[in-house]
Amino acid sequence: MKIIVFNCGSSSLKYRIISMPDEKEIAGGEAQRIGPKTAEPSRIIHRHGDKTETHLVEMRSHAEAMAEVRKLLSTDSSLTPDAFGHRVVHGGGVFSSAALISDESLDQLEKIKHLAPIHNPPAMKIIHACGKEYPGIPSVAVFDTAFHATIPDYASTYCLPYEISEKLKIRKYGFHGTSHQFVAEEAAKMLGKPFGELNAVSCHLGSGGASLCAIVNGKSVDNTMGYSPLQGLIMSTRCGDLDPALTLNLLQHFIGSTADVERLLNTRSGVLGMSGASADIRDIFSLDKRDCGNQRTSLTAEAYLWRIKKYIGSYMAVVKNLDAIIFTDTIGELIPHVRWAVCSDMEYFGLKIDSEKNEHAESLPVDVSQKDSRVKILVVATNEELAIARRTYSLLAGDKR
Amino acid sequence: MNIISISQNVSRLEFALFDKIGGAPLAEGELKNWMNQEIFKSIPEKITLLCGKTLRMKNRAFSADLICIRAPYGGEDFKSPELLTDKSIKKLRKIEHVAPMHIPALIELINLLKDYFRGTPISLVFETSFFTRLPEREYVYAVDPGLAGGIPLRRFGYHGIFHERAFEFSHDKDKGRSRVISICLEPIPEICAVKNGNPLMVTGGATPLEGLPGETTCGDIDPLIILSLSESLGWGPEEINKTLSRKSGIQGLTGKKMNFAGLFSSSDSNAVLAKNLFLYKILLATGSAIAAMGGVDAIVFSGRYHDLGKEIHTYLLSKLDLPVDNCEVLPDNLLRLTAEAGLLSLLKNK
Repeated sequence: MKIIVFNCGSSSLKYRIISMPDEKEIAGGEAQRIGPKTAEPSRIIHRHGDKTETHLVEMRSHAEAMAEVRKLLSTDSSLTPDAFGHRVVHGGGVFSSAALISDESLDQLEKIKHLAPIHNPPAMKIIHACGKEYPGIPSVAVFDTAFHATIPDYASTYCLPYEISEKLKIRKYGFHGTSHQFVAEEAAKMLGKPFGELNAVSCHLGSGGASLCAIVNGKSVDNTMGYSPLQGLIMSTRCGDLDPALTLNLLQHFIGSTADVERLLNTRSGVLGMSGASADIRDIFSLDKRDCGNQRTSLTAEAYLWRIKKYIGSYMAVVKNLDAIIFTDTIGELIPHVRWAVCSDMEYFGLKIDSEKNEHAESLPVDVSQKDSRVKILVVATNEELAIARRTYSLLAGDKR
Repeated sequence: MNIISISQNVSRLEFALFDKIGGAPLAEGELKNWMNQEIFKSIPEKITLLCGKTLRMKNRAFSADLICIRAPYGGEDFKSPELLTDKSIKKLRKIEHVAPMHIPALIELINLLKDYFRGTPISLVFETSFFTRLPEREYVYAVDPGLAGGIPLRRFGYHGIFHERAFEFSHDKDKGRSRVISICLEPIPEICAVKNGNPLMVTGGATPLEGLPGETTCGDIDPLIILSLSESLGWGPEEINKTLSRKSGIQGLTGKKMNFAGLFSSSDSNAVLAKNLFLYKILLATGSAIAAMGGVDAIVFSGRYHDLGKEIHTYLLSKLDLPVDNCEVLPDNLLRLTAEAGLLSLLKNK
């Protein structure tokens, strides 16, 4: 079965054509830097067989990115799929596992799309486009929230009037679950432990979104994102944690326009809002390294790392008998400076990072901790697309049976 | 020496009379709805009456040697307690718009007391002074100031007087304790990491709404929840603010008016969830504080529910490798700490 997996990040669209059940990748690629202008141009890196091509194209939205990707896939008839797997960020309280797309599930998705306004709507556009362009080929939605269904009530409850939380289904849902679960499974393999016994802190540090997950016995027990993917760490264009009174002040400032406040906090804040220079933290580190930055860029870099470090401390307090801290996704895998900054001076928690190993962590997965580090520091490449293909195949194969 | 210590809150004005530092208050009182015009005018007389009665003096015979006013917000210009001068009022006028609930009321209170207790020095003690030393990486929010319409985007923290004293208290006992976690158990609780006398991390934010949940305050929430409340319930900012600050926290979860002492002794299932949640938030903040300081040497509990510190410490010990013995309780209340800080500023000035 050939499955095309679409993974909509907040500033990227990854796609892979994976043959199942042998898990062989036939083709794939990534549309990068979708949305606000960054220091480097938007591009699609497309792989097919041994060839890798880079196409520089302007992509102001995920719809434009999807159109460009479809052009590339239509050049070869061998890339015609048997099924689609879609990463959908928010499953609300409705979807606690992968779901086959139908009119009913689309209606339900429509009702909860406001919960992840910069993620669910583009993913839904891609689901609709697949239904239209490839009628009769099934689509499966795989939710980021599903892995976090095990977060206990004392960690998922907000201190709001109970009846309001009930009515509006307000609770911590948690996100990046597909990735956190995938890299944790890989880490368990590296450590030779059954996944059900793994205790870890997983750091999914993407170029767009980022979150940390506390994992006890293979189950998610907390995630830095909350009711929506806006809470938690400082992200590319998202503010992360914010005093509730400041959100209220902004609501007053924008004369009650929730759309304006949402746009400011989701798409013009975070690294972009703080630095005023770029939405990509790699650009900020690079400016500072070359002494081309300014006070704003230096502060952005410092605050970005500080927030991660504080949350690592929080989750290390939560997870007893910790086996490993895992770094993944674009920033977590590629930027040694980030791993070094957030793991330094953390001996209290049993973390000792090896600078040499960390600097040369190119072949993944790899352990970059010192020999006597009580807790392993692992860098693991995430593969959300493979995880989505596995769940898509499993659901469809189950249907056929 | 007669020291009047006054604590300014939005709806309550607390005051006490001290005759020496380190002793218990000779008299204590409080005025609710003190901003009501009639009540406001009577503040100096009520204080004089109580103090005079306590000291068995005829009303007018009572005179104060020092008045210390504790205020929740002083912005960045008040870096330590200071004796009132015309310059202090000018500095306060500059930040009126930033804290409209506190500063105008404080200025009026100062003028009232200045007129009544003519010639008596007044010392201003701000909760925020301690947090003027907070590192920028900790106090900044990831929002573009240019797009936020002039709204001050700075974390302060609101129990600076407790945290500063908590560090000194622990450090005085053992100079080796340079990394202290201060857990202030007031109705709006707060945790602060203090290293070498300076705050490195604090749970409170630009306002006391952020951070740990309180008896009626929500604590940390996803910003999008506020927008959902507005869209789904049609509420404006005032209604939402009322809900988040007066109907949330422990009260929101239990459906009852309950203080922290009641919460810790209740077996009601909603209260058990609220207590577990509160303990969990303390654990998260403690981990964060340890990461901020690269370790911990001591923990100090303070505030009106400091008695709960023992149970909380036991809970933390079950989760973390913490110093077992270096756990202290600072029993002093806020009015006494205010009097101490105010007196120090007077002595420094002399």
